[in-house]
Amino acid sequence: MRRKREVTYTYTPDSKTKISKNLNENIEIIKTILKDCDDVVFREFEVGGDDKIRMFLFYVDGMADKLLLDEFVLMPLMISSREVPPSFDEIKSKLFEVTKDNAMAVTDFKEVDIIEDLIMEVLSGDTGLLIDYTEKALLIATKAFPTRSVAEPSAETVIRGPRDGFTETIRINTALIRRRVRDPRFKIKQTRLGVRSKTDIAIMYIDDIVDKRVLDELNRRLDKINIDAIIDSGYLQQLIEERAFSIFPQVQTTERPDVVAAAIYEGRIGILVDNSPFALIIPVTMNAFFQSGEDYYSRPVISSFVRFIRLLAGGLSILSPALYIAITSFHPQIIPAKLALSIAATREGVPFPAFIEAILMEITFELLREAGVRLPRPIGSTIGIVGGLVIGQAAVSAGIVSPIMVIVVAITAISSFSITNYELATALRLLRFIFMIAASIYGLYGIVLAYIGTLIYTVNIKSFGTPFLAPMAPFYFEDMQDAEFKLPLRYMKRRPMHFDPNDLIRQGDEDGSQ
Amino acid sequence: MVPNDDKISTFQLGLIIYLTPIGVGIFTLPAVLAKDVETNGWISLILGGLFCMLIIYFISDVGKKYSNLGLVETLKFLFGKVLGTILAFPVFIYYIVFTAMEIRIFGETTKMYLLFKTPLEYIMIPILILAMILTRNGIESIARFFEAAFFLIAFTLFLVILIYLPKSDYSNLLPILRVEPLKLIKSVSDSLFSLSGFEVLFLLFPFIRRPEKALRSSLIAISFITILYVVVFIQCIARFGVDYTSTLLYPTLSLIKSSDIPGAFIEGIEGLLFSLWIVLIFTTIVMLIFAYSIVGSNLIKQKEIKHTVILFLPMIYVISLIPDSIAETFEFTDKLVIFLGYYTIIALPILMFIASKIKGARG
Repeated sequence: MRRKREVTYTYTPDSKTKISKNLNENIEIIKTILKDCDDVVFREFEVGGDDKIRMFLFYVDGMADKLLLDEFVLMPLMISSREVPPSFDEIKSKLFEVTKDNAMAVTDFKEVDIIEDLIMEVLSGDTGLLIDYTEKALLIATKAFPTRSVAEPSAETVIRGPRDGFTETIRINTALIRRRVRDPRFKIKQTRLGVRSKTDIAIMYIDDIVDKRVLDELNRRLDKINIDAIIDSGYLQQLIEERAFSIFPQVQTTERPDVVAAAIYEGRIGILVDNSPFALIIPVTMNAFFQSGEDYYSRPVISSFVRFIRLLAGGLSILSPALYIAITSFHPQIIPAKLALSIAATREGVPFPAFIEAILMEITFELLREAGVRLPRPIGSTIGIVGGLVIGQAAVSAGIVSPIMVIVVAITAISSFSITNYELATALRLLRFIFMIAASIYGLYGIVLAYIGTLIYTVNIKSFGTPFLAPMAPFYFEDMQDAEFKLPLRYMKRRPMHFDPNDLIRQGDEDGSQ
Repeated sequence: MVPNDDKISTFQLGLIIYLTPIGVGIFTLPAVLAKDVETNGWISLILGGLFCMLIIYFISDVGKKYSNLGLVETLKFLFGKVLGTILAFPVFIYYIVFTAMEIRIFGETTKMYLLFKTPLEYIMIPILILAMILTRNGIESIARFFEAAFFLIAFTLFLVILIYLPKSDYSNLLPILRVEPLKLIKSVSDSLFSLSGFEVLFLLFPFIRRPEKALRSSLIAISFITILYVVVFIQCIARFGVDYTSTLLYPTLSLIKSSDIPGAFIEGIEGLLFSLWIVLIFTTIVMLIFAYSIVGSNLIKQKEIKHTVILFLPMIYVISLIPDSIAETFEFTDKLVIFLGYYTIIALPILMFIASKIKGARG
């Protein structure tokens, strides 16, 4: 019997312990580190006809594929090896190689020689196998944990276009992208972030299209992150954004793999975070927020029209209550006299100034909207009925608001729901209140001041070096092919210039040259 | 990724040269010209535009040679340290007073057409603060703001011209050339000063990415402004006739006010157009503030333009409140034009052009 040595070991995140030749010592260290982790399964067993070889296997219950371990790892090692037993002395020198190459029927192995690294991988679902007399350990890919299947994304629905959406598992998500980009130059770089959570992050780009400066900038920002855990891609988004307090998102989020793939083909970078069905895309512009994947699949004239409608919706959702306030309380001469009179007549019984009236209604609308999102589905319809009563006839007949105000709130609501990007829609929601306040102080002049202020604010935003208002400001004539209007696909021969891709040509000429 | 070098592209330069001169001038110009040269205002405008192009040629010729120096440094280089500083000082005063007057006229006009009861100070302060914020962000942000604002403005201008074209009596434009040549030449200076603001080109040279292309884009910008002014003038005369136009304070606004679009939802369209005009004048104010802060920071040797903007802003506010009425403001502006304007816009570029030629011949 080998002499048992006393192991003194304390775990720190940076410690690197080499695997020693003494299996008992290794087991002791692993069990010290994983003390009180009751979901980890340890299995010590003996192999070979003469039972001289001891092995040690450990995995996290529920994250590793038990069936695979039983049938393709333990079965050949423990049972088959007894039938044709190589004698211990014969293979002593190359024990590890024999086990790895001849004994097990598993596709994916990794060799590890640091105990902490091994444990790290085991905690992400793989299985560690230690062999006596060997300074290396085998890592068997056994990841199999409960996952949600690929389903249609609930936030970004389309009528024309693919119906698959990201899931919470990074492997499935990368596969969804890889299916759309079968180019060896398409890279999926994986790293781990979060000191404790060790969340998998995948950075995806096409090597010869992507702007290397953006990639470097992204890596620099990722390197700076020193946080305990990345729970969702929202964490990462906030950590890599330029402006923490900005109301406009500087990173695009999407649940749709086709959107990510299209962005990657434009020379942008997609980022996937494990446990999050939302992929991040950088850089992003205001223009991209007004686009939907569907625009590219349907007829160009119609998608141009739809984009115009969306822009109009954006404008209306910010402006309509502010205009109502400005016109009724400052400039009734702007609208036709008859309309001005009829508005004044309906407002006669209303005890509040236009600003209070508008704020009341808009806040009620925001409350309803928030309640509608949080409510469980079965009672969700109740809110609709209650809301219809509050923002509707009841409020008017109670004399709190004028009927015109109800119309204004309705227009605001419809417009803000027609904006494709949820995060932009919420930003515009906030802007709406700023415009309302400005209009209540200065009327139309206030609206213009607020507009100038918003423009100053947005022209200064950059998303990874790309100005937020590109291709409008700075102006790129070539990129107007895919901005407010969309040219037919056959005329969109170049990638958008404002993302500065390395390779501009998207479509070659007819003779086949690219 | 756009290079973060605080430089502007050729298109952005053209846009700055286009949007800076269009300010309060566009409202008063038809009345001034109708008073002086009656129906021949458009000839005066075209001559003014051509003269302006000549000056732009001078400026860009000098600017290209010393593209990394800027106005004050170029003056110091050409005329020596002391004389150069003395020559640059009136330019600084010109911009300070010009900014102040622009803001005052803006405030008065806004009060007259949009906010009848709001005190003047409350109208002027927010736009000054916004202009200060934008200017402090540097030329790159300013250029991007101009681009973002431009599309809205261009679209509206196009719409307005379309609306007003069919409703006018163009025989009002006759007879032409029945005015003394001397009077016509005198009025060219009015036309030239309606373009004032183009001379910021001189200050922008250190910020231009490709200085060799500056001349072309500035010339295009000036010709577009000239066309716009000519169209506005012709429309005013065609609608009101010479006599009535010359009595109006803001003939352009009256023009917009005078007709309503049949069947439109909006009746008093001038309120909405006026709001857009605020964006236009904002671009002018921003560029003027930028101009004085560059000249100022060169004069007091302050490297950060950001600080110079704030340093002189209270002064501008106080100067803008000196005139008692809008008439007095216009009088004040005219005096400014005679002394500082002629110097900055005409004398200085020619002087520098000659000096640079002599220097070039010697070296």
